[in-house]
Parts: sequence; structure tokens; C-alpha cells
Amino acid sequence: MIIPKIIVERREPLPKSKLFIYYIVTILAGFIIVSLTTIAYGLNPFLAIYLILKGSLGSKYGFSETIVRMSPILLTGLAVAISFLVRFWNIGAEGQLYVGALFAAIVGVYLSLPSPIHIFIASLAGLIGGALAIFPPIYLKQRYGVDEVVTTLLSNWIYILWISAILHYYWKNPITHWPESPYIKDTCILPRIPGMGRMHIGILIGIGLIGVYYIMYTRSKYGYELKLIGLNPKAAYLQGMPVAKRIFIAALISGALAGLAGAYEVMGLSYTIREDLSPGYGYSGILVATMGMNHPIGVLLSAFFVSIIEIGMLSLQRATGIPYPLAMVFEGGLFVVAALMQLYSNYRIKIVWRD
Amino acid sequence: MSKSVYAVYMKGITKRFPGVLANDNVTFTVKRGEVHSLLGENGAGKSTLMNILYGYYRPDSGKIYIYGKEVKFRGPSDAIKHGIGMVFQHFNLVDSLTVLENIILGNPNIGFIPDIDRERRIISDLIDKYGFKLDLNSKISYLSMGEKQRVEIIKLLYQKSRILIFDEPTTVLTPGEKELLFKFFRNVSSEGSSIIFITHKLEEAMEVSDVITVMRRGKVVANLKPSETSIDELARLMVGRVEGYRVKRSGRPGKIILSINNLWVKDDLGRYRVRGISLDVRAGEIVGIAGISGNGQKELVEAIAGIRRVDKGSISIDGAEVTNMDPEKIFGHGLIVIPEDRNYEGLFMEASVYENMISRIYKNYSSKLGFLNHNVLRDYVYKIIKEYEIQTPTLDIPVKALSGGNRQRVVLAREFSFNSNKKIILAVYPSRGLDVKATNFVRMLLCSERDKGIGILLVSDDLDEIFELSNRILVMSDGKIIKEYNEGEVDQGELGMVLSGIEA
Repeated sequence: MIIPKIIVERREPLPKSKLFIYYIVTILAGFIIVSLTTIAYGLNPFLAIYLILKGSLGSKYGFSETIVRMSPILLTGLAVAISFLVRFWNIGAEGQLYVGALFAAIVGVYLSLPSPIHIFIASLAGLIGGALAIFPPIYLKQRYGVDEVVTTLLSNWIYILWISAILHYYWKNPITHWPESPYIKDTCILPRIPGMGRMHIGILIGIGLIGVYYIMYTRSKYGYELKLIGLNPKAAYLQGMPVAKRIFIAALISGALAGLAGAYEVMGLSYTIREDLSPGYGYSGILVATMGMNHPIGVLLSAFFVSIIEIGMLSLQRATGIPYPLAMVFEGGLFVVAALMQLYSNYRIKIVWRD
Repeated sequence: MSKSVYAVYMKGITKRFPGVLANDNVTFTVKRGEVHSLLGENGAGKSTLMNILYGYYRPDSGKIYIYGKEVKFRGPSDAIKHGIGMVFQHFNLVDSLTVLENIILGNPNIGFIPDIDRERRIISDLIDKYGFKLDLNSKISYLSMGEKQRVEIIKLLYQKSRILIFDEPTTVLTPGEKELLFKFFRNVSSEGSSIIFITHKLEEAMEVSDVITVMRRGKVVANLKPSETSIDELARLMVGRVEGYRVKRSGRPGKIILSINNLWVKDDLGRYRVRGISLDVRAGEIVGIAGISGNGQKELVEAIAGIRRVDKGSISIDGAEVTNMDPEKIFGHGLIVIPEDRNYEGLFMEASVYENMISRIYKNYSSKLGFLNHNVLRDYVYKIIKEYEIQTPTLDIPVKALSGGNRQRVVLAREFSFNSNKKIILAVYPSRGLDVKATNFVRMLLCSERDKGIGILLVSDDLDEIFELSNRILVMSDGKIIKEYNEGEVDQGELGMVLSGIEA
């Protein structure tokens, strides 16, 4: 009798380009496997994938909504990727996003400036808010060695609940009486892209920042230093690199970009800050960075991919009644696939037939 | 002969890794009560073979018989059940627990609630029986490497292992501890247990074994008794050809390059580990620091490199004071360091060969905005890769895909090429874990640097290396220099005696 034997063995490291393709294929396979969960709702998984793609990409409206969703996810993904690159595990993009949104909303409501300057100052406020929000965890890490996973994760709730308290008690919208801030001035609103629904220029700025990150990652000494510091901080220090300083700056930039994501949600979409401003963009950023292996192109593609899932699932909910939170199941499943992939890309699985 | 004479009978073992045939139809036998040395260079396949025996790897083909019975191991726990135990180079001990706790917890056969008093008696009987001096109540973190190794051995005996595999056990030992280990080999083998001793040190294999198996490039090339062979023959079998092993010493040393004056340095726990060391290294000489690891060498080296605070005393390079400066500034004064642990202090294992090669000089080739000039850097890397004969398929594979010897070449090439102002080289265990060919390369390189008029401070626990290279030998013990010899004033045996009186 011939029986198959499965052998798992170490392989030579794959070249980067090959790894990338290999990886995308695995993620897609993971997506298909995860879609099997729709069977529980009596829906053929391939029909589900078709509806997801149709809802998110099949119409101009769907496409523009996907891109609208992508703009904050791209920024938080980029934010998380930069911190993960130096192995500073920033799990707090969600909280930093809210602080950035708060700062931008304050500038948008209280300052009166001509439009481009107002937008610029509000963006800057978002960046500063995010950077301030991540500062305590960085300080605790570098001064006292407190684990940043714990501090950044817990800081999410601190910031979100603070902002919730502010919106309920001190800064309630006087017109709507909702726990939301007053609306920002028209001069602070991000221009929309004509003919593309709610799509605003936040996405262009996000793609521009990805471009900057790409150049830094591949061409500049800073990208080189961050990569090497992430891989082996001790050796980097012995090679004379300013390790603590680079980690500090990378983490600060990470917080700032998450803050910018929040600012653009306020300035481009909601025009006010609410408690439910973000349905977890900060957490999606972790998925995006992990799936994209902290690489600029990887982050861009996976941000697009995650937006397709989220918007597609919303459309699936409308079409079939399958609840939207299943999108979270998809994202969680993909995260596990992505993490395992990175762990096991050093191995190959062989099936040998023998009797 | 019946199979059951053999404790281990591995028949026709083949194991293929991507791109490498690690074991090629290897047949390997160990009798009961035998001390069997497995000799070979790094990469010869001896570790792979032993990892197959220990159940870590499964062979692609071939059979394994333990005491005459065919076995198929699904993992190390199966091997342990068949009485096989292995002492690794890196110990599997929990630092914060005591010796007793480590030994008991390491036993997979122990019950949920062990009878500690009974187990303690069994363990201390074992310790007494083999003359190991071990305090069951002391924490692992306070033990020397030799003592930790003895804990590992007791762990194996306690779980009733009868086939004991030792992977390069002597690299961490003092000469005295080595004797104790060899005595243990003889004792335990006379009781019918079998010892497999993996090594690349020819003298040790000759000294202790009943049988020696030599491996080269995945194949067994010889199986001999020490009485039937010689060190020269073994070396030839192991390497494939005899190489020039001796290096020439140079002429007159010049002016003082490195000067250390009454240096006091603490370890991480705040204890003084360097206690008033003074020494000079002149241009064009190699000064060897001999000593057992753990006598303050690490702290001394780190203080010179600028990564550990100097509490008292001073260090100067070519007349310039560098005490407690940042590493980068000290490098600017002409210091080159070959780090002790090349994989974790010298290299970025996941990064490419190219990225590893430019980490010293990238700053010199970046524009004002911070853009790297990759064209110039690539040309530079190609040049030094050729110069240092680094074998790598491309510049873009991760450095962890290279062999140990090539990794050390990457470190040396990078460190020796970047600084045109180099004056002093701090070489810490520069050939540890390297095979004969790579070791020769490293030593020749150090000699050629010395001949260019560079001072070298060599820290090593390998007496051969110290003797082969040094113009002067300093013996370090308990944070002090206790003896100093000029070239020719001491022979290896005498120095060995001096060292064996030192506790780690």
C-alpha cells in the first residue's frame, strides 16, 4: 500500500522577491479557507468571495468606499510598520488615533485660518497629538524597561475613555446634544476627489507617505539603520549606531502617523470627533503591518486588501444578512495565517509517497 | 557478531538538507561500555548524525537499532525513553532555579508530586559516586560553565540514560575540569554505559577514546583505535589534506599602542570582576591573555570596547585617553573588535551579506539627506569579499545561510577594512567554533595585521591558539594578571598547570 508521508524540514532562506509572491499566495489561500465560515450561514464560500469583491470593487460607489476605508488603515498600517521595524511593538495606534483626532478637532473648531493653512495646522496638530500619546510608553520603555506591548495596549483604553469623558461632560455638541464635538470649520475640511463620492485627499497623502517610507526603506541610511537595529540592537550598538535615539524617533513617528489617521477621519469624513470615530483602524493597522512584513509595498497592498474585506463584508451583510462582525473573524484568521507564514517561511513541507 | 553487542547501530543513514547532503549513507556503531569519539570539522555532519540519534531529525533513509532493537524516534522524548541522553554546547538549565530543581524538573519520568527528599538522596548519591562537586541548593546562575555541564550530566544519569552524547563538551572547561570529565567517561563506560564524544580536537580524541570515527563531508572516512593511528593521520583524514599549520612570529615590537593602567570594572551584579589590571600592547606584537572563561575577561574586553563602565583606572590608545568613551569614538581612535559571540554581537543574522558588510562604512557613503550610494558600496563589498575569500552565492542571501567560517570572515572583512586608522585589534576567542581551515585563515590574518605594525590583544581559552600566536602571554585569574611570560619562557604543559590551579 502506498501511503503519503509528510515531512517538514528547514529550507534555505528565500530571496525577498520570491518570498513576497509566495506570501501573497498564502494569504489568498488563507482568505479562501477563512471564507469557509460562511458555510455556517448557508452561503457558498465562493459566492461569498464573489459578493465581497463585487461589493467592494464592483461599482464606483463600492470602490470609492473601499478607498475611503483604506485611507486611515493605510496610515495606521504605516505607523505600526515603522515601529515594528525597530521591534518597538506599538499596539496603541487606536488610542493615538483618537488623541490625534482630538487635537485636529480642537484646531478645526477654534482656529480661524484660510483653508490650506488651516488644514496644514490641523494635520500638524494630529501628528503632535499622536506623538504625545505614544511618548509615555516610549519613555517608560527606554528609561525603566517597561514592556511597551502592555503600556501601548492599555493606553488605548485610557485615551479613548478620556476622550469619551471629555465628549460627554465638557465638549458636547451644543446643537445636536450628542456626545460629539462641535463641527469643524469649513476651512479645515479636506477637499474631496471630484466624482469619487466621499473619497478625500487623505488617501493621496497616505500614498505619498508610503512613497516617502519606500525611499527611506530602500535608499536611505535611516531605513538601513532601522532595519538593522530591529534585527539585532546589540550588534547595531557595537557597530556604532545610535540605537536608542533611532528607536525613540521611529516610535514617535509611529504615534504621529496614527494621530494623523485620526485627524483625517475628522477632517475628511465626520467633521467632528465621536466616541465611535474608529471601528478599530488602529488594530487593523497591526494586521496590515504584519501582513505587509513592514515593507512599504506590502503595507500598501495589505491595506487595500483589508479595506476590501471590510467594505465587502458590509455589502455582504446588506445582501445576505451575514453579520458584519464576521469581518473581524476574517481579519483575525488572516493575522494568524500571516504570522505563521513569517514563522514558517524557513521551512518547507514535502509529501513523499512510499509503501 | 550479533547486533546486540552494539548499544547504537545506525545503518545507512542519509539526511539531505536543501542544497546539502549532511549525511551520506552513514553507518555508525557504538558498543556497550565504549568511549567513542566522533571526529570531524564543522559541517562534516557529526551534529546532524547525533541529532538524528537523539530524535531531533528524522533520517531520509536508514535504520537505527538501540541495543539490537529497531527504533523509530518521533522526537527527543522517544530517544530519552530508550536511554539516550545528550549534553549540548548550550545548556538547557533554568538560571533562577537551584541545581536540585533543575535535575528533578528535567526528568520526564518524574511524577506530578515528586518525593523531594528521596530524589535528593538519589541525586546526591550520584554526585558522590562520580566525584562531582556540586551544591544541590545553589542557583544555576552562580555556577561556572564546568559546573553547569556537570549538572547536565547528573540530569542524564538521573533519568537513567545509558548512551550519553557529548557535543564539544571540552570547549567550556578548564584543564582540570577536562580531566574530571574524562575520568567520568572512563568510570561510566566501565559500568557498561556508552559515551559518544563529538569533538574536533585531535589530542582529546586520542587521549580518551576506545574507538574514533572520523567524518568528512557527510561520510564516515575512517574508524580506528587510538593505538593504531596518530594525530597527523587523524588530521589528514579529517581535513582531507595537510595544511601549513604553523605561523611565523615577527620581529621587534614598536611603541606602546594600548595602555591599560590599574583598571577596575564591575559586572552586571555590581561585583568587581577586573581588579587592578595594568598591561601594555605594543605595535606589531600579539599579547595573549590566557585564562579560564569567567575570570573577568568579558568585563575587561567590554571596558576596552567602551560598552562597560570603567570604575577606576584608565585606558589609552596611542597616547589618547579613551576611558569611558562611546564605542564609536573609541573606534575613531583606531580600535577594532572581533567580538566573542559573532552571531549575536557581530552579525545581523537575518540581514543580507551586503547589509552586514556595510554596517561600518555606510555613513561615509551617504549624502546630506541620508541617501546611501549603493553603487559605490556594492563595489566596495565585492572587493573585500574577494580579498577575504568569502564564499557566498550572492550578496543578498541572509548571512545566517553561510557557514560559521564564512560568517567569521564577514566579520573580519568588515572590521579590518573600514578603518584606515586602525592601530589595535581586540580579538576575543577569534576562532571559537571554527573548523581547521577557517581557524588557519583567522590566525594568518591576525599575523598579517601584526606584521603591518598593528598591536593585537588576543583573549582566548584555547591554549594552542595562545601559544601559536602570542609574543607575550599574560595569565588572568580572578580579575588580575597573575603571570606574565615572554615568548619561549613557558611551554604549553607548564601553562596548562598554571591554569588548572584557577577556579572559574
